[in-house]
Parts: sequence; structure tokens; C-alpha cells
Amino acid sequence: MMSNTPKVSDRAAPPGSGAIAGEVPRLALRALGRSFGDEIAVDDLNLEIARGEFISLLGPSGCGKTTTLRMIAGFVQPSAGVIEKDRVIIASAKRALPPEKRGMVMIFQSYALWPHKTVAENVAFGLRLRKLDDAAIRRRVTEMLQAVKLDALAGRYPAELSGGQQQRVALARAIVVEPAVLLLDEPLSNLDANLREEMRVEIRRLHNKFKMTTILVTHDQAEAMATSDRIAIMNKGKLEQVDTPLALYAWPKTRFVANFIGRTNFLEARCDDTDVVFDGFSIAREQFGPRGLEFSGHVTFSLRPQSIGMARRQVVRATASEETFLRMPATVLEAAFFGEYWEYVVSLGAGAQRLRVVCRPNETFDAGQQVLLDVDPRQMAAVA
Amino acid sequence: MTIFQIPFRHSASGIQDAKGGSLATGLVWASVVGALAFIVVYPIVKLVIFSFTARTGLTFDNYLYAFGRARYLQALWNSLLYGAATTLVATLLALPLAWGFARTRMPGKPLIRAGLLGTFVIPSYLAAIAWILLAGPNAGWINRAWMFLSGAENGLFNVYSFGGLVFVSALYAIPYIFIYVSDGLSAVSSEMEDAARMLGAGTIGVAVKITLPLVAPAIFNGCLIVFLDTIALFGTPIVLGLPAHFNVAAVQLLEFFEYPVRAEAAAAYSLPLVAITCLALWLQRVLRGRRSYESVTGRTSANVGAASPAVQWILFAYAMLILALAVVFPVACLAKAAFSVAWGRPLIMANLTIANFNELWSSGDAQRGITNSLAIAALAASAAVVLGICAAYAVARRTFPMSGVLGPISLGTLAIPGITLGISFYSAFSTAPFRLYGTITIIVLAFTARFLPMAYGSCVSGLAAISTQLEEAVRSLGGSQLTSVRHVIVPLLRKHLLSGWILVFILAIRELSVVVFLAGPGSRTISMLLLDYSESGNLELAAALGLVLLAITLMVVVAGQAVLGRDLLSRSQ
Amino acid sequence: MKLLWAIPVLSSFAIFAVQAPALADDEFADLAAKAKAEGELTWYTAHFDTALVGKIGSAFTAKYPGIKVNGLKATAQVSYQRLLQDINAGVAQADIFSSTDASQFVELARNNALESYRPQNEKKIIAAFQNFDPGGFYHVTAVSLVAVTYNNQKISEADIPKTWQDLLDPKWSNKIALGDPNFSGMVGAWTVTLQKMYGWEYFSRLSDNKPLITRSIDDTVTILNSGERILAAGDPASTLRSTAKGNPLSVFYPTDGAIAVVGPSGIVAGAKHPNAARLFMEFLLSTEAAQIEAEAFEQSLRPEVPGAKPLDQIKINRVVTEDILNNLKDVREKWRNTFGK
Repeated sequence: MMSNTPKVSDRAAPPGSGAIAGEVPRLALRALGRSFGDEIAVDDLNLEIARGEFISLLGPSGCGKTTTLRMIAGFVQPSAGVIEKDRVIIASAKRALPPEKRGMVMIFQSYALWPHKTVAENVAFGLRLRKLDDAAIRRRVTEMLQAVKLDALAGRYPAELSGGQQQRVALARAIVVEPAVLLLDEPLSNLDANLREEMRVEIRRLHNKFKMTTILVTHDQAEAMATSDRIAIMNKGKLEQVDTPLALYAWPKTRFVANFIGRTNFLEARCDDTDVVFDGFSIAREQFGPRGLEFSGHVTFSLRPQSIGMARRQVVRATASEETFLRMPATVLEAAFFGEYWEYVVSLGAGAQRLRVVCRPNETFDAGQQVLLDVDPRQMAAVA
Repeated sequence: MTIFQIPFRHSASGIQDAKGGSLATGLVWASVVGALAFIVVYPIVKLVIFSFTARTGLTFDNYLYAFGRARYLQALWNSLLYGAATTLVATLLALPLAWGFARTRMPGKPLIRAGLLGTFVIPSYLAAIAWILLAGPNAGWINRAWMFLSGAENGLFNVYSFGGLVFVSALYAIPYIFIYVSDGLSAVSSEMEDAARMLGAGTIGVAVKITLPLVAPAIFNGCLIVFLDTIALFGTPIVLGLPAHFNVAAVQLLEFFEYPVRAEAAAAYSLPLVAITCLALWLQRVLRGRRSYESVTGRTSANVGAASPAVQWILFAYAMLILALAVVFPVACLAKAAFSVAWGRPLIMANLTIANFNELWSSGDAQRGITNSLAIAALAASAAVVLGICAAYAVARRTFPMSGVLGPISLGTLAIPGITLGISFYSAFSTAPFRLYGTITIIVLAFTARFLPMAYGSCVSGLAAISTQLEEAVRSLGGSQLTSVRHVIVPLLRKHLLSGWILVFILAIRELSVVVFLAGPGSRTISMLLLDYSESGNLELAAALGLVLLAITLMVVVAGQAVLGRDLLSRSQ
Repeated sequence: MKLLWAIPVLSSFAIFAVQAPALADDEFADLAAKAKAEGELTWYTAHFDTALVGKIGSAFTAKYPGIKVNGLKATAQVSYQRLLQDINAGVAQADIFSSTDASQFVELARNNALESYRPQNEKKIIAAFQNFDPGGFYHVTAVSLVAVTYNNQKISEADIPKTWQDLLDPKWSNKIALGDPNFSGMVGAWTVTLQKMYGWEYFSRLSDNKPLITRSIDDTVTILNSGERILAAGDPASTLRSTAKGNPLSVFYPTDGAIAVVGPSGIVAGAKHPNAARLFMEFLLSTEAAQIEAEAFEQSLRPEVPGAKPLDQIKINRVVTEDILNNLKDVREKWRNTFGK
């Protein structure tokens, strides 16, 4: 779990738009776009990234996240819009600062360690470019290798290292030059599961320690959730939503985000004066809380399987927090056990509405059983 | 490393259009483009224009003259016939070898490899001279042996014939086919053949019905190279073809340079060869487009269990025969002549001498020729490699707009037969404003242009293996594009650059057809001396010089293999 | 009293005698000094062979130290082609040009490609070869013969053909080697002269005997040596040089006349080393050069140096320059058609 308190969730800014009130953002992407011929890879992207923030670009393959990262790095020039660093435009459709002049370092999916140089030489390269003297270089390289726990392997060549060790060399090489911005392109996708977790923690730790601004591109939501202060979800070149991990989970703004982060149930409804009418049941507007008054027309709701409680019809519960819960009768249709949880498909009330419900391992129900569902309308997110 | 792979498509590895530019980088690329335009585009353009010029202005007269005589057209036709026949024979000879190498455990593979390298190293016109000694109809050793053994009146072979010419040329084209086919075979998944075998097909059946069609593209590529090379050959046809009354276009071109010199007609006459070459290369590209032959899935490990031991020994014997014919006999002949007072006399003590080598050593002409050849080859190899890597990099990394055009330009001289290239350089640079006639410079320029495709191909394949991310990592850390080339590309390509250099050196040091037109008194080469010596009947001296040439080439090859750590002909690793 | 007169006379005689050789050198001392300043010269030649060309060059440098000779031997047509290429390119690479095809010199002089120079040594050569060109643009510096050459291990002198006509006998089918007039000046001269003697019919019939055709006339030496063919129309000089090395070759001078080919030399107009060229021209006509050539079985131009074969001992058909001029081109074409495919 994150040990870092996200700084931005307190700010009074419209959530999910990417704008930050107050201080100068480290990076700003304004109306950023990129096409390749007829194909639009990135479309009208607006995002501000604060100093010292750890933000992920998350989305399925082909969503434009890597293109965006490469535009930030300077390997691709924007077709539209601008990129600003500390309020200075560094890239636009007309001009672009070359990568070597941006003060950002990128770590590649393949690590891109130079096979003909030793670990120490790889790490020292950036320092040599900055014309430090030999003694200083040696000192900083040693410190860095110690920080990533590779000092014993300084004289080895990349071919002699394991995947995780190579990853660490890539990290060391990038961080030793103390970049203002660190860009990571799917750095963990080549590692196996255990290593992935270990390196995830490592990356966050180094981010904290060296106080960089980090942008991580990944398709793995667990990775993004576990490391980032905020996550920018992209789909088909567009930014769907930018928010803290919890907000994304609990309050997805679009169908795509709701479906992408974890799994969810979608419920269609129509609003009339007093109620929100679903298929087979309805819920009074007040039960949704203050926002219930704003609903109109046709609305789709997202309801997480984990936020539905299930109990046998006979059990009666009454706790203070559950007062706002709805209790609805349902019938279990399917049951599947996944080792750490049950997943049930239930049919709700009289209509055809089906819901997935996730329960703890000891909450066993059989198919065909009549149950009661506890649903909290305040946890139902209205999506586009 | 792939010496002989001539790629036509370049996959752009990575989206890259952000400029890494600075003034220095811009100047570097400008000079590369300028150099390429100067030595490749300009001579070709000049040649075409030249073919349309006369004293009175632009005209078609040269073409009318060049194609107005039956004899000239006959020579062109003969060249095509010669090319086709040589390709066919070379393919037939090489296929069993290649198959044996890639698909069986035949014995003696290292020896055969070395032998093939030797075959590659021997220039065909030098071998032709040796083959006169071996298969002259009355006095050739093979024929004399036959007459002795069988009591026949006449010899078995007459090397002064179309058949003799084709045979000798084909022998020395075998390495090219071998490389392409064995490379193609190793790319074919063994699973396809295994499937056929499980269904009941025997060794030969599998080889003919499954393997052969699958390597057809590779065979075609090899055939193409051999064909294009053969139709432009000059040395072998002049030694063997002339006495056989078989005139080819390359020799015919020389006639246009006799009195009265009609260099413009020569230019016009040489362009059909260029057209044929372009057509063939285009055909290759079209056929390549339908790439359904590559095994998309499946292991590509070589299946070497295709033949029984008996077959393996037959293959071995066959390989030894080929090597004997291509390397052992000719070199033995040359050695005997080189150490003889008079090569017509038998091998007795009184006839043995090192006087020929002494004469070479003390002859200013020979010394100059050897020095010239070494210098020209080294300079041309260096220039070709430098230009090749620059062009390959510009194309692969798209360093500036339209940089892709450097690819076809770098490969352009493949389409120009050597002798035509010589004429085009003559027309482009020998007169004002360059006045490079008779200098070493013009030969170096011509060789650089001629062998640039080999250097370029070597670099392209090397570059393809280097991920762009390795360079992006440099730039991400603050280095410029030039820095990434210096610190990443060049060190990683060292072996490809070296093998490219060696290849060009070997080809350049024995080159004849270009040099014939461009050499002046001060810039004669070993190849010209060889031709002169053989022409004046001094075969002993020619053989001695030939051995010197072989020795130099072998030294370079062996040194190169020691540094590279592997066989120069191998395409793997 | 009379004896007193003897002293100055005798002593001046003595002085004169001592100085005489020096005077001979001083003859070209002026020219030699200018030539030395030029340092080298380039010689395109179809005469002799590469080794002999080298020897002559070395002897010249030995006599006039500091002047290097770059000798380039090739067949007459190839040498001419080289010279023409140079002229075409506007670059004078050669200083002096020697060939076995006299008609080339007529053309060159006509096109102002030669420089006129009358060597002093020309007055000392055999009278018949003096004043070859009244304009002084080119002079005879070599005389070569074409005779019947044969491999004496494969055929004895008794059996060989004694005349050029005898070569037409069908029993010599596949036994003859020839050069090619399209390359060799000497073979060109031989062909023109034989056409004059016997008409082109001679060659039509000769082609029935399927001769092996090579390029230079010296190629026949190689062919005969190998035993590939046993008879040739060859150059006695190169053949005898090969015999001296131990090869089984002999020469026969046909009774209907060995062909005597005159080999002129001319100084190239606009040469880079004109004085060295002039000096070399003198050298080519000197006794030293004649001596070297005679040792190599060539003919000698100086009466005091005996050449390989005294020309009054055999029947000679001397090649006439007009014939070459008028017929060589034609003959080369006919040759291609008769002997080519």
C-alpha cells in the first residue's frame, strides 16, 4: 500500500480534469495531439503534473500513452498542442527541443543497457557527458550502485545480469544524473510477478528519496495504483480521467474507466421527478445524497461487485451505517470460487438486471438460493 | 553478419522525427549526401548524357552505331547466354554442397568451408589462366592424363570453348550460390520437413518436393547475383572466350575504345546491360513481396539428420572433387609455373627456380603495381565503409527528410556492370574540371562506388540488430546524436565494419574490369599486370604474381577471421 | 728541326685521342643536362617484351643517372588506344610512343600529335631504315620479323612447312597458333603483307585449319610451349628468348619470305619531359641499345652490332607503310568475319 499521502487530493480543483491550482506545474500538456497519417494516436490531451508528483499514464495497448511519453521525452514531435516545462514551451508542432536538452531521463522497456559497457560504465555515462571529473564520477556511481544494492556487480556486463538486476542498473543510470523528470516506459512488464512487486516498491522508494517528478507508463493497473499519486487513464488517444487511485476506483467518470479499473456492474436508469428508475426497482433521489438532485434523463451507474453485501433472506441487519443501504431481494444464478474470493452472479428483483457480487471465502451461497443484497446508493457512481 | 545480403526494405525501428540537430550534425549529413551524389549519381547521369552526345550536340547516333552491327548485337546476346549458362551450372554444382552442409552430417565441413573461402579468394581470370594449363585441348594436363590412361587420340576437354568458359566461370561462382542457399536452408523450419518424412517421403523426396520449393527465393537471389556478375565479366572471357571465337559485351566494349575512339558509343552500348540489371533487380523485389515462404512459426533449428552415411560420404567425395577442380589443381598449376624457368618443361630440378619472384621483386613496374593495388584497395575499403555506415544510419534512423533515398543510391552501383562503371567514371572525371585521368584517385573513387553496396549491406544488417532505444538512452541522458553514434553505434558495429572492410578489400585488390579503363602508367594494378604478363606469353611471371596476389588476400582474410573470431563466409552470429 | 714539329702534332693527337670518348658523350651533354632536370620519362611501347623494355630502361638510367624510365609494354593496338585516350583526355601521360603499326604514326603526325625531332644517331643506323619520315616526326627504332616458329619436340625441322603457303595443308589442322591483328601490330603487318602476296583467299583457307587465335604475337610462344599447338606465325626474337630459357622452340624463315615489320617511335607533342624523350630517342638508336637488343635475339639497327639474323641471309618481305595505312582496318574487319563467330 502507498505510504505517501497524495498531495493533490486536498486541492479544491475539479477532480479528474488534470488541472492543479496553486504552484507552477513541473510539466503541462496543453491540447497535445499526435497523428501518424490518418491514424490519431493522441487527441487533445490536457494534463498538468506537479513537482515531485508520481503520476501514471494507464490504458490498454494502443491508447497513446507511450506516444505521449515519447513526446514528453522528445523522441516524437507533437502534431498539435504544446508541452511546457516550468512554464516554458519545450515542444510544439513547429519546434521541439531535442531530448538531450530537456533535463529528463527515460528508462526504456528493454532497459537499453549498452552491452559493450560494464555496469559501472553504463551508470557513469551520463555523468561523463556532464563533464564531471573522474573522482566525482566514481564517487557518485558507487553511491548510486549502493542505493540500488548492485555495488558488488559494478564490473559485470549487462549480459551477465538477471532481469531485475538490469532493471536496477537502468534505474541507477537514470537517477544518478538527478533529472528533474523521470520517465518510465513499462519498466516492469519484462519481469515476473514477484520481481515486479519488489521493483515497484523500489521505484517508489527512489522517487521519494531523490524527490523527482516521475511519469510512469503502464497497462497494469495494480502497478499504477500501488505507486502513483495520481493516475491518468487514456483510451484511444484521449484522456478519460485523471484522479487519485481511490477516486478513480470509487468515482469513475466514464464507462471505460469504470470497467478498466477493477470490474464493475453497470445499471441503466431513467430519472423522473422523485426517483431514479432501474429495471425492476427504483431508488429515491435523496438516497444518493446531495448529487441525487442533479441527475436527469438517462443515467448509467457503476456499482462495484465488492461494494455489494449479500446475506440470506432470513438475516436481519441493522447498523447505523447500513441505514442508508438498500436491501433488495435477489436470486443467485452462478457461483464461482477464485481462491481468495467468491464471485456470484445474481439476478435482481423482478427484472432481468444481473449483478456480479464478490464475497469473502466463508460467505458461501448456492445457485438458486434466495438472498438479500445490501446496496449503498452513495457508492454508485454515475458514469457518462 | 551478412556479407551478401542486399536488403531492399528498411524497417524504420522506432518513430523518430524529433531533430537531433546542430550545425555540426547538419554539415556531416550534408557532406555524406554530397559524397554519395558525387561518386554514384554524377557518373551515372554523365554516362547517360554521354551516350547521347557527339561533337554536334545531342544525338541518337551513338545508339545507332552501337546497335547497328550484327556482331555487336551478337556480343550482347552472347553475354546473356553466358550469364544464364554459368548461373545454371553454378547452381547445379552448388546445390548438393549447400544441401549437404545444412541438412546432413557430412564429414569434412570445416575443410570444405576453407576450400570455399579459397574459391572465393581466387579471381576467375587468374583461374582461367591456370585452366589453360589444365584443360587446353592438346596439352592440358587433364587431357594428357586422359590420353595416357585411355590411349585416346584427342583430349577430353577443350577449355577454349563456350563450355570451357562457362565451366570455369561457374566454378568460381559456386561460393555465392552456396552462401545464399545454405542461409536459406537454415531459415526453413525443420518441422516442415519432419512432417513430410512422417508421411512417408524419403530423403530425396523431401529434398526435392519440400525443401527445394521452400528455399527457392534464396536460390533465386543467389542466381541473380551470379547472373549479374557474369554478364559483366571481362577477364575470363578475354582469356578463354576470345580464342573460342565467343565475343561478349564486356570485351566488345573495349573495341569501342580502339582507334577511332568512340567512347560515346561505348556508353550507349553499355546501357542495355544496366537496363537488364535493373530489370532483374526489380523482378527480385516483386517476387520478394509475396513472402509466403518464411516459416512464421516453428523452430528454425537445422535438421542434420537427412541423409544416410553412404550419402554423406558421396557428398563428401563430391565436395572434394569440386574443391580439387576449383582450388587445388589451379593453384598447383600456378605454383608449378611460378617456380619454373620455363613452364612448358616438366617438373625437374633443372627447371626449378625462384628467378620469377626475383624478377618481380626487382621490377619497378611490379613493385609499383603491388603498392598501387594495396593502397587503392585499402583506401577504397575505408571510404566505402565510412560512407556505408553513414548512409545506413541515415536510412535506418531517418535522420533527415527523404533520407530514405540514400538507400537506393548506396545500392545503385549494383545495377551497373563493372566495365560500364569504368567507362562512366572515365567520362565523368577524366576530363575538365576534374582531370583525374590516370591518377590513383579516380580508381579509388570508382572502387568506392562499385563496392559501396557491399559495405552498405553489411552495415544495414548490423544496424538492424541494434535497438533504437540504445541510442535514445544516450540522448535521454544528455548526449547528442553524434555522441550516440560514437559511443554506441560504432563500438557495437565494429565487427560488421571490419568484415565489410575486408570484403571490399578482397574484391578491390583483384578488380579488373573497372581498372582496365581508368589505369594510367602511374596507377597500374596487379590485375592489369597479370593480364599484360599473360598477354606477352610470360606465364611464369604471371603465375608468380598471381601467387603473390593470392598470398596477400589470404593473409588479410586470415587476419580478419582471427580478429572477428569466426568464418568470414558465415552469416550467423 | 722537323722533329720539333712532331712534338706538338703528336701531343695534340694524344690529347685528341684521350678526349675522343669524352667528346662522344659531350655530344648529348647539353641535352642530358636538360633531361636530368626533368627526372623521368614515360614510354608507351609495343616493341619487344616487358623484360627487355625494362632492361633498356635500366641501361638508359645507368648511362644518364637521375632519369627514370617508366616503360609500358602492350600490343600495338592497346598501346595506341592508351595514347589516344590520353590525347582525348587532354593529358600527355606518355613522352615517347613506339609501335609495330607504322600507319598509326601517319595518323598521329597528320593530327599534330607528334613532335618533330631529327636524332643525330639516325644518321648512324642501317641506311635502309633512315629517314623513314621526311618530316622527322617518327623514326625507325626497331625491326622485327615474322617467321614460322615451332615446338621442336613435337615436330622436326624436316616436317615443318617451308613456306607460308604450306601452312594451308590440311594436315596442319588444329596444329597452328596465330596472334590477332586486332591487337597485335606485327600480326596486322603480316596479315596485310600476306594478303598482298596471296589475296584474302589465303586466310579463308587458313581458317579451315582451325588455328588457335590469341592476342599478341608473343602469346604464340606460350601456346607452343604448352604443346597446345605446334606451329605458329611468330616473332623469332621472343621465341628464341624462350628457347634460351630452356623451352623446346625453334625458328624457320620461310622461303617465300619472312615478313620484316618496321617499328617506329615518335615523341609525343606536348610531352611533359620533352628533353628526356629526345635523349631517349637518341639512346634507342645507339649501339648500347642495339647491343642489349641483339643479346635478346632482336634485330639490330646499327651496322656495327650484329643482330639476331643478318637480313641479307634470308628472304625478306618488307612491310610497306602505305599498305598498312590503306588496308589494315579492312583486314581487321575481314579477320573478325573469317575467324570469328
